This record gives sequence, structure tokens and C-alpha cells, in this order.
Amino acid sequence: MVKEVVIKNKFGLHGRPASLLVTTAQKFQADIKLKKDKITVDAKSILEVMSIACAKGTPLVIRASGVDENAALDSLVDLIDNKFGEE
Amino acid sequence: MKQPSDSDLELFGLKGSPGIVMGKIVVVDNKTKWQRRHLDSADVPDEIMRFKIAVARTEHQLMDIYDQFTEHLADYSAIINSHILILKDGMIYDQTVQIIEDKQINAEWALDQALQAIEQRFAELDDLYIRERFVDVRQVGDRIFRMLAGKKNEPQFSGKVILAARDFSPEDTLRMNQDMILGFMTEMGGVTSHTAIVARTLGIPAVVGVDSLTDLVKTGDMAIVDGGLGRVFIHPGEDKLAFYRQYQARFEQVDEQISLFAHLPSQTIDGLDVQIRANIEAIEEYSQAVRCGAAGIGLFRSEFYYLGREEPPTENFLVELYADLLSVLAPFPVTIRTLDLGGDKRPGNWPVEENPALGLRSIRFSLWEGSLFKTQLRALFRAGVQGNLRILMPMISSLEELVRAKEIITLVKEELSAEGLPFEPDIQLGIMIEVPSAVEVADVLAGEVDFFSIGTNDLIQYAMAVDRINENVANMYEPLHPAILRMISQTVKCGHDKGIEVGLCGEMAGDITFLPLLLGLGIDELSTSPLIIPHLKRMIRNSTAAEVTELAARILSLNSANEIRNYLCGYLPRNYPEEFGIKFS
Repeated sequence: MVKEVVIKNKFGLHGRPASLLVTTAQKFQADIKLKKDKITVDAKSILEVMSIACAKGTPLVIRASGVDENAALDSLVDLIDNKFGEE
Repeated sequence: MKQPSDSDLELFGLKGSPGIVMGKIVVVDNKTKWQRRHLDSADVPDEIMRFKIAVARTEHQLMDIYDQFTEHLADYSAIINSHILILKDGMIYDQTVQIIEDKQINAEWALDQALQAIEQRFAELDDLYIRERFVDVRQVGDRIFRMLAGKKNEPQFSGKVILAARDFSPEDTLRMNQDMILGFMTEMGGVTSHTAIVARTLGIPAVVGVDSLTDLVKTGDMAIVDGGLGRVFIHPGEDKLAFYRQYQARFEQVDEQISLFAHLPSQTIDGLDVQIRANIEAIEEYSQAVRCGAAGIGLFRSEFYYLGREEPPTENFLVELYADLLSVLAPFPVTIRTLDLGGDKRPGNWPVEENPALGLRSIRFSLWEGSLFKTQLRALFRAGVQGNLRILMPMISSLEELVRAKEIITLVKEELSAEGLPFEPDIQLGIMIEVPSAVEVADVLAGEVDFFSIGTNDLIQYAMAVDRINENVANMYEPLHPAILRMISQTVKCGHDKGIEVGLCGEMAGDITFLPLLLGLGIDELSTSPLIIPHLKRMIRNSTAAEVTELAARILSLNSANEIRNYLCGYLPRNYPEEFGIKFS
């Protein structure tokens, strides 16, 4: 399963939003990857997520594969679309 | 008041958390020593187990801290949470295990290798903010190293002390027992580090980023830590101790009363409104400003985000920074001062100048260099859509300078329109009045801007040719000199004639001794460090516009600072007994 999203919250994937995304990803068994340009990182690793430095407006591809891939994708897309509950 | 003078050693750092403490230093050596050790293949599983146990215990420790501290203070939970995530991150955990297995070398070396790889990866990032978050990775790493060494993570000592260390993590700071610890200082860290943020929220005075600190001080040394100034004095003399005891007393008094009356309005008995706003330099300080009852930010010193780093911040970084500050404070105004580099705030590679106070500094540097200024202006106009922004330009000394700066602003707006980027075109523009020549032509300048802000620190220095850091002449630095008061009065008149607001943001604004006089001179806005704001507001509520106007007229008729001081010595205790009582002298 693959979904495309755009980071909409003001600070991008920094600090609290990054932690929240990783914590959410870790709740699922599925293997979850984030792809920015040509770089693919593990959505369950805070350091990898931080290392792609996603500012506001960055397009991302989320790819999940595993038994709960649909639920995982829905949760992550929700989180990003709701700007991590920031506003 | 006597100026600080002798001290064996004065150390310069960054403002970690305001407050003044004096006491004995305990140096905490929280860096563990280890050696590279080759393992027999039979010992590899045990070594991996030793590492995994250390991580599990560290996680347990962090969870404990989380449970203990985050109930009331939600801000910390995000920080500790991210540290727990970092601890268990594959780039640290899996990598270290892998290296132990592959190379058959001890856990400490393997962990160090894993951390170095992360450091390298972070160092390549364009995003300054994320690059700086490597500090958190290192703090988590240090915690595992200590656990591997079997060291207790809590330093041991007795009595009230000042801690000194290479670095403290936010968790270390959270666990500092305030009955035992007066304050702390570190080599690492900046004003926006998580450690500094936690220290500020807890109210633990701290100075961070002191170069070579742990080489320069030892356990048992006497020290004064001035967190608001970012200074440390080692082996201070009796004069300096006396000076700081006085300051400390005032600081504590203000702190206790904040919650009682911070929220009340700043209006005189007869209905004159005066805006009291805060001076800040790191964005996180906004919460303290709000808590102290500030009606917005009167001075955001933007240069802080340019100092102590190799490259200037990017436009996008600044847009986010400013937008966040604006949106949390809206509808209150946020006055952001454009770069005020030079003088005593010079980045490392600054050209050597014989007389930097009169050199290429502030707006002169911005106009001369060009690109930094333009980037900052673009970020300001773009962020402006998020709240109530006012732009303040420092050290304007002539109409030509102001016109040049305004031309650049027009250009920046045209560029932004052409690029189709959203921005707020109508932003109030103001200038600092801090050069005597600007006072003399204030009538002309007032026609070109939306507000003035008088910067008394520089205005006094330039008007009286006194460097107040130079102890030989510091006693000549005199805010009550009639020349200074006339300059303030003239600036206010010129501003009001053109219908613009005139504020004042130097240290005079935060000194309650001057408040009635400044009100009487017609100042519309005072901007000062947050902690004194509740006091200023209370004094305003006990004033009447009629009385302070009369006071100012009377004082303007006096001939010398001494006469003015004598007059105030009689006036203040009579009119403000709560503040000045019988002790004022």
C-alpha cells in the first residue's frame, strides 16, 4: 500500500511531530517506509525520520507492507493531514 | 549603584536561564572513560547482552523520570519521549549490536562508532534546526555510556552547590533537586537547547556554552552565576558579592509576586494606557513573557539565531521561527528587530575594528552586506501573515540610511509578489532611536516610519561618550543626565507630532526608579525583561497621568543628574511607598 502526502504543519517533521509519527508507526506490525525525493527511510526510526529533514510543504510517499498495512497508512495520513494536532 | 569590578576570573557564556546564584562549585564529570577492547568470539553474546541490559536500564530510568515529572509539565513529556525513541532507535541499538558482532569489539567502542555515524549523517543536513538536535542524540548516548560503566546517573554531593559539567541533559536538569542545587553551568548547549528550556521552565539559574569550562574551574571554587547575563565569576571579590546580593534580593522579590498581579492592566488611575511589552531573544522565552503579563513583544533580538554557528539560518528556517512566535502571541504585536550584529556581538570571522562601537555594526552592516538583511526581510514579510508583526530597524542615524533600508524593503516585497509567495504587505515599520543624530532629526524620521523605539543603552553611551563596560569611566554612565532626559522628551514630542507611537526598550525601561518619569515624558510603550513587568504594571496602576506629567516637567527644569536624583529620592517613597518605602536611598 502506498499513499502520497504533503507535510502541512508549521514546523515540519521536527521535534514533537517527528516523535508522534514514529510512535504511531511503531504501533503497527507492518514495515513502513517514508520516501522523500530519492531517499527512503524507516518510519519507525526517529533518527532516520529526522535525517530527511521534512519542512512544511515537503511531499512524502508512505509505503506500508504487512498484515495491518491499511490501518497503519490510515493512521499516519490522518496524523499528517491533521497537522499533528498542532492547530 | 556600584558597578561590578574585580574578580579573579570572568567567564562568558550564553543565557541559559535567568537568575543569580552564589556558592561553591561541584564539577560533575559525567563523561565516562573507556578503552577499545577486542573480544574472544565466545564472549560476544555476553557483550551484546551487557549492552542490551544497559539500554533497558536506561530506558527504565527515562520512564521513571517521565512518570515523575510530566504529570504537571506537558512540555517535558515530548522531550523525554523523543529521548526514549532515540535510545531504542535502530541507528543506535541495532547498529551497536551489529558492530559488536561483526568486529568483536566491546560495547562502548561499538556504541561510539554508531554515534559517530549518526553525527556524520546529521552534519550533512541543510536543516540547521535538525542538525542541532544531534545534541539530544549525544545526551542519550552519554547516558548509555554511564550505565555501561556502572556509574550512577545522579551526581552525589552535599550542601547547596552550583554544578559545572561538560553538558547536562534535559533529564539531568529535571532531576536537579532545587534544595541542593543553586544553579548550573555547562560547556555545551545554546539558548534554545532542550536543557536551557527545561532550566528556564523550572526556574533554575543557568549559564550554558561556556568555552573550556571544566578546564577552568574545579570543585570547591566560589562562583557567581548570572544566568540573565550569561556570565560566571570565579573567586569573586567582596565588592562583586555585595553588588550581586543586592540584585539577587530584588530578583527573588519580583518572582514571588508575579502570579498575584501579572495579569492586571497597565492603566493609570486617570485612564492613560501604557503598553508594557517584553524583550526576548530566544523564541521559547515567549511563555515567560506571557506569564508575566506582557502585552506582546517589544523587542525580539533576532541576531541570537545568527551567533555561534557556521552558516546563517536559511530563509525558510526564519519564516517558521517568526511565524511560530507571531501565531502564539497574536493578537498581541511582536516587534522583531532586524540584525544588530557588530559592536559587542560579533560572529567569529568579523573584521577586526579599532573601535567597534563606532564601526560597521547593526543597520550599517545589514546595508553593507546586503544578502543577510534581504533574507531576513523576506522571512519577516512572509511570516507576517501569521500574526501582528512590527519590524524594527536598529541604529538608524540619518534619513539616507532609512531611505536605503526602505528601498530594500520595497524591492523585497516586489520580489515576493513576482515569485507568488504569500506575504503580508502592510507591516508596521519602526526604527530604534539610539544615535544622538537620530534624536536631532527625529521630526524628519518620524514622517517616514510607524513607530519609534528609544534604545537608551546605546543612546547614553553615544551621547555621553562613555563605555559602561570600561570600569574607569562606568560611573559616568548616567541615565538621569539632563541631556538624556531632554533627548527622550524631544523624541517623544517629534513622534507624537506625527502621530506615531514612541516606545523605550533599553535597561531604563526595566528600572522602577525611572518609571514615573518616563510615563511623564509621554512614553507610550516600555519593553523590558519579562520578570520586572508585573512590578511596572502595578506602579502604573498606582499613578495618575496628571501627577507624572507634572513630575517630568519639574525634572526637566533641573540642571544636573544629582539634583534630579535628589528630587526623585523625595518623590518616589512619597508616591510609591510599596516599592520604595523608607529603604530607598
